Amino acid sequence: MEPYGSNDIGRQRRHAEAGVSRRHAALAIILFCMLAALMNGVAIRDSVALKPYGPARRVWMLAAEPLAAVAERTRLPMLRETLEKWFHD
Amino acid sequence: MIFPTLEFALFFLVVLSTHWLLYRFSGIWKWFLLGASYFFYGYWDWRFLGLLASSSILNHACAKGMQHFTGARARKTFLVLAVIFNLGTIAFFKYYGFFIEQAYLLAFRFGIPCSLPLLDIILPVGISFFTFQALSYVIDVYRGAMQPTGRMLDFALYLSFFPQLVAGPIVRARDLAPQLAAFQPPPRIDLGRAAFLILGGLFKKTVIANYLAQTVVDPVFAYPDAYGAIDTLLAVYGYAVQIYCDFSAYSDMAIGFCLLLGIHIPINFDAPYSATSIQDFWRRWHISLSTFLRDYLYIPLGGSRQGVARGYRNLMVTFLLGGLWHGAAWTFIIWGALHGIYLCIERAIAGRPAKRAAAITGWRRFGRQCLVFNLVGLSWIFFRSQTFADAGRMLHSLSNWSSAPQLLSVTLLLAILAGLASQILDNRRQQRLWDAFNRLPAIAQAVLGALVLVAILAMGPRGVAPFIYFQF
Repeated sequence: MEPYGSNDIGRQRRHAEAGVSRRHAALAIILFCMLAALMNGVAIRDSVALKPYGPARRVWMLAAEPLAAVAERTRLPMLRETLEKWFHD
Repeated sequence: MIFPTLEFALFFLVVLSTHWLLYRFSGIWKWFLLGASYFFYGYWDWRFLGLLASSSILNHACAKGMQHFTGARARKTFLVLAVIFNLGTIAFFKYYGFFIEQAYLLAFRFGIPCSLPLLDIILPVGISFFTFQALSYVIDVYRGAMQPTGRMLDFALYLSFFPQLVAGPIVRARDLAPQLAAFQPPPRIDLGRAAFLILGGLFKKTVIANYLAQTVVDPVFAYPDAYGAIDTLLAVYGYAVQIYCDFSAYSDMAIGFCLLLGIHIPINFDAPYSATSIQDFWRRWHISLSTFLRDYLYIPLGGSRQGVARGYRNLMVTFLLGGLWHGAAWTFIIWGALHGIYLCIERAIAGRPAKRAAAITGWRRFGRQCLVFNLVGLSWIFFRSQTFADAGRMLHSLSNWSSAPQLLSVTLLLAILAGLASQILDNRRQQRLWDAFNRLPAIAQAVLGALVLVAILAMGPRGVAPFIYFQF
């Protein structure tokens, strides 16, 4: 008896070799992470600022503040800010 | 560390990049993944790392014992030892308080003086999941369905593998352990499916589940007397969608992260609210648990092969224990009992309805789907309520049609409908989208993914509530 039923789509796709090459996947993920970090840079800094004071927060802030500064220069965080206003106000 | 957090994002990026750098060096790669998994688990509470390690050592020792001593008696002794250890661990951490409380209540009722030690026990996160995985391993080795893993390290890595460690799916050792013992990187990464599973899971959890919890489910389940029938009905439907979006989101994200690591784990949900019978529902809901209960409890009890009455008894025992697995409370037992009763009635009326369900089409099919959804919704009332009395108050509120609805809104209806609409777009239909995504150039995939991520994060409330199934 099939342990997970016959609808295991992942196994079928693995056998069919669906997907992209590992190099393609790595490039897409690196670009995605860079874009996501820039688009969310200000929100990341704001959420890190809410962490309890202590060494962990200091380390987070050391990384988050330069990220937010670079993000603000690119103006990419504006998209998230606009969407947040649209959804929540 | 929960999935939709900055901490996990950073953790996963480090693990993902190191994994693909180290996979050729099998020994170092395994120790690295084991270390990462223990770090992930220890991030909650490092004190329970010892429990995970001791579970790995003892279960593997028992499996090796079964392999070494071929006599039937010796093999059975090792199996019993492993089962006692696993069930004893789960009984102590999860059910000790519950059973002590019941013993006190019983003793009080019969006027018997009773003095049992009350302990303040913290429930280790994910204990029900990794204990069941360990059980599947020793039972499969005992049955001869698989050989024990070559080294302790391989089994320890299987048991602690971080994507599915704390909330499933309960992946069988024979499916996952060989992939980790001798990692064979797939020639292609199913980036489209991984992106849809991770971002779709994020949407289901942070937008739909969190919104429904805050807007309707938590307020109504906390004070059902303050609401009328329409609000209570919305809360029940809302909870049905919330628990699906919450739990399937975790499973989906776990599968997606595994795909990026080049590891395959099976699906755990297959559009459960499109089920046309309760049996069909259990083939689609928490598939890894329902198949575990089927293979390691229902069939060993005799299944439906030993007569009608025994078949019903076995169904009820399986679902009562399935209910108890979810938590140490009578409400979970009632939830399990309700599903057992549904299945018994279904079997009594229609024999094996799931086999004929595919033949039903059109409005009849839709009618059956609505009936199943409402029966499941009724059982969720017991599952979500803190006490039996709370569930009673919810049921009472369902009969209060004189109060005007307070919570009804277009957004709320849209959130419930969005959760239900995801049942139409099942895995097979989504394949076209995954393949279309896979055909895009890397830059387009990155831009599209980042835009969707920003939209999801902007839509959802700030902060992420823990996943419901972490408590099990």
